[in-house]
Amino acid sequence: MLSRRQILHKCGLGFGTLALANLLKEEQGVPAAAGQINSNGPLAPRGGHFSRKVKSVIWIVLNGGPSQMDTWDYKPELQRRAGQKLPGADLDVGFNKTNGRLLASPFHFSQYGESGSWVSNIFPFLAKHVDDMTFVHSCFSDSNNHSPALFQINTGMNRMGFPCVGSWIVYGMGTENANLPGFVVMTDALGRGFPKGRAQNWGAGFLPNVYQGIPLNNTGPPVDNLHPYAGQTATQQRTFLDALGGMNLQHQQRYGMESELAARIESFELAFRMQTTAPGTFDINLESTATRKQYGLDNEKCAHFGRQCLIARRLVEQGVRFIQIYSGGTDNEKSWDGHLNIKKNHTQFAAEVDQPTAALLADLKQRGLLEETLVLCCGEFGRTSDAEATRKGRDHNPHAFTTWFAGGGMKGGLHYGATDEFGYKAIENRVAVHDLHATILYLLGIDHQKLTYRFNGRDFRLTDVYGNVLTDILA
Amino acid sequence: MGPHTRYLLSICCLLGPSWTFAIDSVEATSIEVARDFWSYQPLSNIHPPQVVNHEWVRTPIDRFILAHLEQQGITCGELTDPATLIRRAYFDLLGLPPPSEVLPTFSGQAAHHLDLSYRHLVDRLLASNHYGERWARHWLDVTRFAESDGFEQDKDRPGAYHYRDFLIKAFNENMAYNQFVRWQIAGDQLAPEELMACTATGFLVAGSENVVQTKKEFERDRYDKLDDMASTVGTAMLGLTIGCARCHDHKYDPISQQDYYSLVSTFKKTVGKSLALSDGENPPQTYHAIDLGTSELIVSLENENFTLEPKVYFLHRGMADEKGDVVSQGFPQILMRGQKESYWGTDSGDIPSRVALANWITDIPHGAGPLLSRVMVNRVWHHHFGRGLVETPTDFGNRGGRPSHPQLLDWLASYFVRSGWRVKSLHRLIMTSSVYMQRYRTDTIATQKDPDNRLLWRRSLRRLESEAIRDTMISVSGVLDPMMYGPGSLDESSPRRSIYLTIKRSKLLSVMQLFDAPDALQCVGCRQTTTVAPQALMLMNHKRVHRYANSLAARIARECKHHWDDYVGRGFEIALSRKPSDDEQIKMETFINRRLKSYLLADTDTNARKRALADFCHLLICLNEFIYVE
Repeated sequence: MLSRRQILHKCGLGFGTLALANLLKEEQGVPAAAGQINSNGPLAPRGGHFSRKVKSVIWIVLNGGPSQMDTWDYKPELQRRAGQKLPGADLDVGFNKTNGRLLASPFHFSQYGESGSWVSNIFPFLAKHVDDMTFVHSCFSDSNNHSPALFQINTGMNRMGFPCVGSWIVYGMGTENANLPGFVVMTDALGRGFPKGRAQNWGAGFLPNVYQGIPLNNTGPPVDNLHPYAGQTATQQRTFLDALGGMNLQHQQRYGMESELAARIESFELAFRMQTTAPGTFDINLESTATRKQYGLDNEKCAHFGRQCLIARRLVEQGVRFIQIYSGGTDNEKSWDGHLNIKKNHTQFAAEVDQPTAALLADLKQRGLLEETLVLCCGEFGRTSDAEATRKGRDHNPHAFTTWFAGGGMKGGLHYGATDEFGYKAIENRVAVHDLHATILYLLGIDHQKLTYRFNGRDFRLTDVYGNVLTDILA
Repeated sequence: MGPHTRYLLSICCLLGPSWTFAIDSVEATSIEVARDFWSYQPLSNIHPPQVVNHEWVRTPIDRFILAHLEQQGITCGELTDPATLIRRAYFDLLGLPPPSEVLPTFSGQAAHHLDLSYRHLVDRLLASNHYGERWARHWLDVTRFAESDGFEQDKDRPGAYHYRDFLIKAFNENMAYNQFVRWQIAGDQLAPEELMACTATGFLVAGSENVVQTKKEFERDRYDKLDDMASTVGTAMLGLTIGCARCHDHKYDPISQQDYYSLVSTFKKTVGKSLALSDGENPPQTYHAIDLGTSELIVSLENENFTLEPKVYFLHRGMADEKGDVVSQGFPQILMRGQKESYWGTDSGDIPSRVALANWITDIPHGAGPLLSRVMVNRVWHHHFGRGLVETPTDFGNRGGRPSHPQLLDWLASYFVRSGWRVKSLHRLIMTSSVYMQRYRTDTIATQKDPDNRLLWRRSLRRLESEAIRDTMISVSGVLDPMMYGPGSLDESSPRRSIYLTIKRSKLLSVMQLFDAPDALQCVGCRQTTTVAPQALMLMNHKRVHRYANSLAARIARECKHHWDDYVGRGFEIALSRKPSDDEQIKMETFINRRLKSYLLADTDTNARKRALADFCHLLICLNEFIYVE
């Protein structure tokens, strides 16, 4: 018989057990590498396939499809030839019909940093960090429709039912802090709704549900059931759990010490600890006034996003593996989906994210966390170089969008890949969504070709049969 | 084969435009050779083997099990005690705990009478309406059933619950499984006058659907939907991962890309549709599959109409813009014996293509019948033992598991067909076998020889599924509303059984998700069982769990009147189907008394008693024994 102490030791950081034999064949000598769910439970930390510095990812999703030529992909030719015909225009490239005439960016571009990167005037704060950012201008998607494109950016597939990047990563590597979820999602805090396709954007697909993203509640306690019921005191809960544990241990002895039973006993202990440790992580009032100001919490335009960025940093400090923050909500004009008026739309949404995101980069750097954190930012697709019927808006464009990375061993100030002279299509060093995913996994030390999961007779991968790591942008 | 090649082979793509690698080393195995694979063979005539220990044998199943054990020198297990067996039977067949009145009727009976009482109990449970509610839920797992479209708008399918109701009725009526399958594929064509038959085809169209479409997407999307139908028929009914052949010939199983598109062609006119059941304002709706006339396959997008051809093309690399020839209906070659497609009516003008599929899939001598039977028998076994004779219930192919008892599986599959494809006969046979009735045990020799218990020398412990956990909480608290059928609800506090909770793809309910309910997007034959802290947090802190505990406490107080001493015993009987041991009795009384003392400091006598008792009930609900069934 095992003692209680032995059981706890056996479970270690064990968040629990997983009754499945879905183990990945690994190189010999690596006991528990990515994707191998060991006896310590499905969320216990595991090493990657190789050693990398990055431990956590913060992914800012500019939901709705931000325009590349109005943000990071400066196109002087587009400005010059505004109103003229877009050569090779496909009027059906987007969701509605476009007019085939070039629409100049309503924003001014200037060069910043030693890299001389061109930045739109909607990002005055982020412009100061361009030398820490790596821009990939040649991304493309397979869908011109929000929910399939969002599913693709999150799961690699434009259909429903597949695991998200965050789920794959936590499946692969577990999480460093058993007291917090490994994959956290923050959605629009101004009541504008979830991104299109909703919870599917952080679903675990056919992976066990334990790898789902946990969306933080925007009102009330951030995580469900975290507060003791009806003001039960810690002492009352303790005596309850002691009695429960005693009974459970007796039961377990009748069943030859099945490890699943031990794990469930431990899950109550862990839950008890989470109640005291987790809420503090989400309490941004513990931050200094200066920090809060830095994130724009005193600025009503961006305070909501600033809070989320600040929470993201606190979560990274606590060892949370994967964090996603969505900018914007469901409806077109309540997200980056500037069909009607790109100037109005992007001015508003850039102002929501600019200062907080810049503060996040500065703060992570100042705390020495940027090296072990990968920050990235993109939408689900880009926008057209020609105008919609309103003549002020742009339609969806799967052929080109920009993703930027920061931290985590990237070459700062680098611009990779290129679109044509109007920003209409990615033409040089084209980067598929699978390539972005392969690169994210690589930075965490995971070989995207080796992280597999068998389901209904198939070994699935995040990158299906595709994916190239963008080695050129790595430091 | 080098590691690199092997790696490539381990990938099976079906998703989206794909397969750009050249695969060099797989030669298409000839169909004749491939037929030797165990699962594609016809059902053989098997006699249960001879065994030494005749006393252990209750049914022919036991002979197969025992023969393996005797061969390995593992002694067979004793039968479990009546209380455990009753609890096991209730959860297996109804997904609910036994009412506490049932237990005393078994105590003190002689062995012979016990056997008889137990047989009667199994019959009673099979006759219960709750049986269909339990087993329909198992089938819903493999059908990726939900009541909304998914994707951006996630529109509700208000009539979709009729399919769920069809399943409950079909299981309760002990519908022949071959008819059950035929109706789900083509009920609207086989028996158009019967509502049940029409709603059965909800199976085909239960998958997700994107109603927000762009011109660039609708064709690809159509093939996605066709794939969803064909793949689900394959995995749910035949354990055949046919979807793997969408972009290229199957890498492991003898299914060619041609086979795939021929099967897909069955559904070339099939769509899901909500239909009104009567005239008038807001008539009740159904949602099921129908075949559209040629002129109706029209997609409307932004004032423009596009007509989809009622044809299926061979798609090179699975890409909708790389069309090859038109493909006519057919079936996987490997599952046709001695007949051509036309035998089942594929090129007949009179027989609709889905009826032809239904004919082939249930055909024992020439079609897929043997595999259909094997897969279902294995599913039933899976739910009785926590693991199938084949451990991969949705994959009976090369990459799937091999049966632990191949002869037993075949014998059962034949028995199933002989019994008229009656699922209840299977339950009865399995549940009255010694192998089912035995108890959990430890045994050094057996553990050494068969650590994984593949030979079934002992009973395993199993955690209940999310639905059964919630239903059990409601049931013991005495507030279960037994109302059957009809529209469901998204309200988790509904007192009805969990099968009546609406499955909306964008609002999957947290209590279901926490305990590993499937996400209703792909066929799931084998649920995961995870144990994580958020489950414990929910049980500790969620107000609804406390409400169940309060109701249970009130029930105990009511039933025991003022006999404070009886509370613990009554609680155990209701929640755990047994009496507490002396030690447990003392421990729990101490716990209640301590709680009582602490509450008396701040509360009235009555309230303090209520609260202390509720804490005890809460503890019962949180016990491992509450959700782990031997």
